[in-house]
Amino acid sequence: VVRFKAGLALALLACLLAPAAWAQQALEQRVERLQAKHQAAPDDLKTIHELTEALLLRVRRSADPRDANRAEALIEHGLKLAPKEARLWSLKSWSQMTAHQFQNALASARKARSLGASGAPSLGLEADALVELGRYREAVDATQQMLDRVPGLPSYSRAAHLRFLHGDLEGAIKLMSQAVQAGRPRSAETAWALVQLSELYLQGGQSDLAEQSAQAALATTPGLAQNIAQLARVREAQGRFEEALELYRKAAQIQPSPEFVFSLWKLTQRLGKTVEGKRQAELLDGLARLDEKNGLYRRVLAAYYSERQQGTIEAERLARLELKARPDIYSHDALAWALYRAGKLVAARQHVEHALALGTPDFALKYHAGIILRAAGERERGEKLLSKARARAPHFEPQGLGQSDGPRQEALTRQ
Amino acid sequence: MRTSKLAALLFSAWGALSINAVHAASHREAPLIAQDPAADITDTYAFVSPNNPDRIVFILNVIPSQEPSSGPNYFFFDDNVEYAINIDLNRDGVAEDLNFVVRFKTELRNVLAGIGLASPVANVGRPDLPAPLQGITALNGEGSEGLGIRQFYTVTMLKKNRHGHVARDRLEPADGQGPLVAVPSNQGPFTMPDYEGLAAKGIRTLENGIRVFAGQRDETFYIDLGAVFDGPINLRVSPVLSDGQDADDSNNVSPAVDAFSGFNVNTIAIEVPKALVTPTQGTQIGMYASTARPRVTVLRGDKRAKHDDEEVKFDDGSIEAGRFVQVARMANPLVNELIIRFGDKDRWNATEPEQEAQFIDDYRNPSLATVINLLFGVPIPATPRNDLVSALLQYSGPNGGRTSELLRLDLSVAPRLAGDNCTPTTQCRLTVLAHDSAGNPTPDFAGWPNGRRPNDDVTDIALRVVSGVLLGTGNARLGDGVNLNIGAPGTSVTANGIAQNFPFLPTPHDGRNRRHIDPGE
Repeated sequence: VVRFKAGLALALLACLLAPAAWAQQALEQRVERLQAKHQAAPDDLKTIHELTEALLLRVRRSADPRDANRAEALIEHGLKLAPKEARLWSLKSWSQMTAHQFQNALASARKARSLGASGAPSLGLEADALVELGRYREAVDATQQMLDRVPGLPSYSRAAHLRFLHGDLEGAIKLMSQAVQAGRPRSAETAWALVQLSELYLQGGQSDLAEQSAQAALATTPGLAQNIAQLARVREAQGRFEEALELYRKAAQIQPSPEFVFSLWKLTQRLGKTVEGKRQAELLDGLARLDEKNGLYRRVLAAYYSERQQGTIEAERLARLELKARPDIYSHDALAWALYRAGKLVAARQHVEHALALGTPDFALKYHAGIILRAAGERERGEKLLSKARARAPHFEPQGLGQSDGPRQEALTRQ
Repeated sequence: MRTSKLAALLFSAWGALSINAVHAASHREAPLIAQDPAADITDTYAFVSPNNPDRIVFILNVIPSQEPSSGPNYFFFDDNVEYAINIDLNRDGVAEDLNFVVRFKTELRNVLAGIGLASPVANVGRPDLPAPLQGITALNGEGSEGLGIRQFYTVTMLKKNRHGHVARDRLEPADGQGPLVAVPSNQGPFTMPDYEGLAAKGIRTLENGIRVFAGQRDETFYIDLGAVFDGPINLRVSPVLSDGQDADDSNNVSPAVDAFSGFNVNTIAIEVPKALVTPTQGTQIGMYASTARPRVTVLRGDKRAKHDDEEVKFDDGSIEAGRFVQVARMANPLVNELIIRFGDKDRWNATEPEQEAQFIDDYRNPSLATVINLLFGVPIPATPRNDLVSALLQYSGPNGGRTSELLRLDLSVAPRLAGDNCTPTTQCRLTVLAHDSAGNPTPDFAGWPNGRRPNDDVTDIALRVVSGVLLGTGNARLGDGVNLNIGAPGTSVTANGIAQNFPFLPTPHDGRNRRHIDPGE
């Protein structure tokens, strides 16, 4: 009954949400208007605040580095004028989060709060940075403060993610649903929460509900690569691989981020599309070179190189760098997998324990951990994790690494 | 060729690479700011009923700026929000003597299941569909079959006795019309062929003679919003109106624009017998409206948490979340928008009205006054502005009590009837500052800041009060030029947009025939 009601609610929600193109247009106009205002009065702090915020909001959708750079320059200019302006420190933290400078983002968010920033954004930024730094207990406390001060989509969605990380998938779905309900219909924020809800349903093996949420997000912001990629993930879970491939192609065309290209590459491997696979691999190699300086995509690139025959050294290098900058459970997972693929089972085993520390019900984590533990001789524990992952996401099982991993696994077992 | 294609792809990827990634395993970029329309209070009203001085009306509006034609995207109360009217009866500034709490529960129905279809829209009604789907004419029973989303609600009264004990009483309908159901958005004449008749069925009588209405209404608040907040204050008309323009409650001053013309809101209106809200001291009561969401613990069952969000079962059998966190509050209009400084708005919304002392500097040194002075050359009083503190935060009389941001209503002031224009017996939009076309004062003491009625021109009054008219300075003709709620639909509405009967807000604009009226139309 609950499942039916949730399904019907989502179906109706999908009907209720209409394209949010007007919202994007409003943001463009806002940026334009504020830019003119800033040019007329470059030292006006209110305009600096508003323009920076509008640019950072636009970055969420456009991924345009020029916006990010301009926001950063505005913040620095503003802080020269008013070094104790709390809101500017919040914006600085936001900008640093965007650049994956999590330690600095945490310091800036805390500085903003020490200077009197009392709103949801400074608490949200602090919580986000703590999650990325793997400081989960502090992240829970910061999120609790945010929930107690401003309950709504921003705080519910953060709490939902923490519940998921700590193993409470049902509670996470409940809260993310509340986040969707609390958001303004037709808004980019609600579409974002719908994508997260879709992913949570997917993690729970409920691909029909995952599809409805993904479709509702797409109905709200049709051209957004994230929404298209989420529907592709749903199609993968449903075993509709050709459709998934097409959707990943579309997402990667709109926004060729390594995340989408990697998903596309993996699917070409599964479907035996060697020509296209080779092309995507070349693209990922190029993207890896471009990312060397900023390191925004080290995690996904480590995952990619872990799957390449000659890539294990690079995978380990990237995963170690990522773990240093972002010591959360997913970085431990990425390093564990890279080490396993490099044949370093003892070291991989250690990082698996860190990755499983919170009991996160993520099927990718469970697949990796199950395979590594099984290879390390903990057959029962490994099989248990694998069967849990297979029950919820049979189609996401790493290819060629099932019951028989071939020579590599035999070598590992001997080790 | 292949190399150049790859280079082009890499070039286009450069943008993506410089920024962030996407889903759960990556950096999530969760929104930091998001609107919460279902909990966003747009206006609060409290007044003695113009039709019956023995009854007091309290209104809470949420979900702002509803475009009537935005189907299939209609407007609903939120089951997770607690909507409350909070009343102070003993002048202590704490509005916990009498509270009315409204909660919704949404029912979803596939209204086309009977003909083997899945409904693409929430509510269905067409004359050419088979019975009973030929139009929604009722909220319960026959005629309600086309309602695919039906919002049931409850009203709970919490009354504190002199020992501080709170009696909790769920008010049941006393009219034999079935459970309480919110009146849905006005989709159009096919779906709801007699919307006014349908909405009338949403006016319900409860125990104790209380009447209640929950549902969509016309947005009655009128303001040239775009002009007021451009800059701020870039008005289309001279900010100083002539006596004639200002005394005219039935015409807007061209080219001023009623920005909310043609838009709707969701309303909860409660009309209570005066005997239920009799103040224990003097003749004034104080009130504010609030919305709250259940307190959520990040990790369920976390032993470190001081509270849990587990549901609590009450003696009357109802189940609710244990605690609620206030999302928004509203008493006097425009306080959050024009007085509270930017960085404090979240904190202000989360605090109780009696904790207003922490924001008192914003009242004593209002930046709006400086703006008025700079833009219009209007002389403003010296700070601290204790006149604003008295007007907005204290009861009138020698003992104003603690500072508390409440809307105060003197029940001894006789109400005025709705009328097409301001007369000695009908409502005047400028309330206590009203005057005739020759400029002679004709005050109407039954409106804001003595409570607030839907058609009080709070924008013009606020501009004048902030400019210092209560202290004999400022300018008593400042205004945005929008003097009425233009184009209010329905019957029982005066020519200047005042609804004459409970719930005292006009019928909402329907999705098919909505209009936003600009000057000259």
